[in-house]
Amino acid sequence: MKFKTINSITHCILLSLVSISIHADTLYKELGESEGINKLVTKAVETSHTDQRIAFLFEDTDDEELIVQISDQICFLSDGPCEYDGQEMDEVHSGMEITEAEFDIFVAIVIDAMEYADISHSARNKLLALLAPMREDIINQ
Amino acid sequence: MAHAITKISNQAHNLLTMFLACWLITTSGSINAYEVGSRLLATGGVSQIEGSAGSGIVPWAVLPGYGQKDEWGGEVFATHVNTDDYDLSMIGVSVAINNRVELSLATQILGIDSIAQPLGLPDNELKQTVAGVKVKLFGDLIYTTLPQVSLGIQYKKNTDFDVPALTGAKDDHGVDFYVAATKLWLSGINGYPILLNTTVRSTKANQLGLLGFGGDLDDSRSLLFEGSVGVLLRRDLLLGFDYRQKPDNLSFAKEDDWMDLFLAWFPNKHLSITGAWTELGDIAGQKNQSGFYISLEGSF
Repeated sequence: MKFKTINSITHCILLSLVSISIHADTLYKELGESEGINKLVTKAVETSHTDQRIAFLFEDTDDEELIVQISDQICFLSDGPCEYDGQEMDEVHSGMEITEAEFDIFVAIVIDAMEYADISHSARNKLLALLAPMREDIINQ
Repeated sequence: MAHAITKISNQAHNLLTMFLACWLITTSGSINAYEVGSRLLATGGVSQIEGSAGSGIVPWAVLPGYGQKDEWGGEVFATHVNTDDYDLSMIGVSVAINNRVELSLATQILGIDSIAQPLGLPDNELKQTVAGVKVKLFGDLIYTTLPQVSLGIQYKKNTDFDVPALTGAKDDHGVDFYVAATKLWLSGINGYPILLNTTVRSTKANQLGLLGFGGDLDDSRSLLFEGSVGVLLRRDLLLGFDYRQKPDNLSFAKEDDWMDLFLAWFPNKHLSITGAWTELGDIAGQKNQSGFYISLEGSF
């Protein structure tokens, strides 16, 4: 297989990925709107309570309130009809001293929850890309 | 006698590889996922041919495995490449500490039957050991705007210098230095994460060092470029392309740049399997070497 063939295959794949976006819904729709978001967030919070490595971070949380706040954030970030009126990320997590490892564990739980909510690979990564910049305000607070 | 020893070491190499494969396959499903580090799947890359974390032939800025800050992890890996006239095996281990430092040790064996007899060479295989250290300087693969940047050193030593000496090589050992910058864009192309890596290497190694270091044509260090581009098709599947510039120090045979198209599969955090089609150009006088590459890596 020569360089030209590899080059053509690469271009083909990239063009296919781009062409899919021309017919795409908003991210809010791709996430399943409020129902899909609620499903994924509820699952993520539930799983966090059962994961021995980070369950302690959720011991004192009001789950219902947490689910509403996170869902509002995701709805707002994905161009849905919501506003987030909760605290800033660093305030919310102040004193918890969340480590890089604990953050990654939670992200993996969120990814599993998105799979559970039947959210596509592409929509999952678009949402993660919107959530990733929050890390620096969440860890080591 | 030397031939017998070579045969035994070859068999040991193969046996170790097969053992590794069996161990990985049987244990990967049963080991509790919590025992491995916290970083996300596929973010440790795979083991490249010299034992560092990266892709098939290019070292990246990422540390191997899944250890996050304050965690550590280890890897064992085996690679086999079959081209028209050669076969190359590599086995190795690596450790990542605190998502900051990587230590690696690998041995490579290149079977050169195709040229050993016609040229009347004293050995029918070339072997070397590579000890590597990599330090992450700054940045994070995913979470920073700047790429993750690491500095790496690979100390390489030929087991036997008989054949490399005949080719015009000057030394039986050498040190490669490299700087790698790697970045994964999550939103990528329409939600398909894109990975880009650039590596710049200073080296005197001929064909990775298997044909010795420095040469009659050029005995100075070369500054070479290596790059990888990849797309995460699924959370467990990375498709990518590597390009690696090579030096050209020996007058007896031209050395070509390498490239490959690879698919790395990460079924879980304990195992990765990588297949690739490689284009390795001319190697020690045999032309247009291309062929399949397969690699297994176990993380613990």
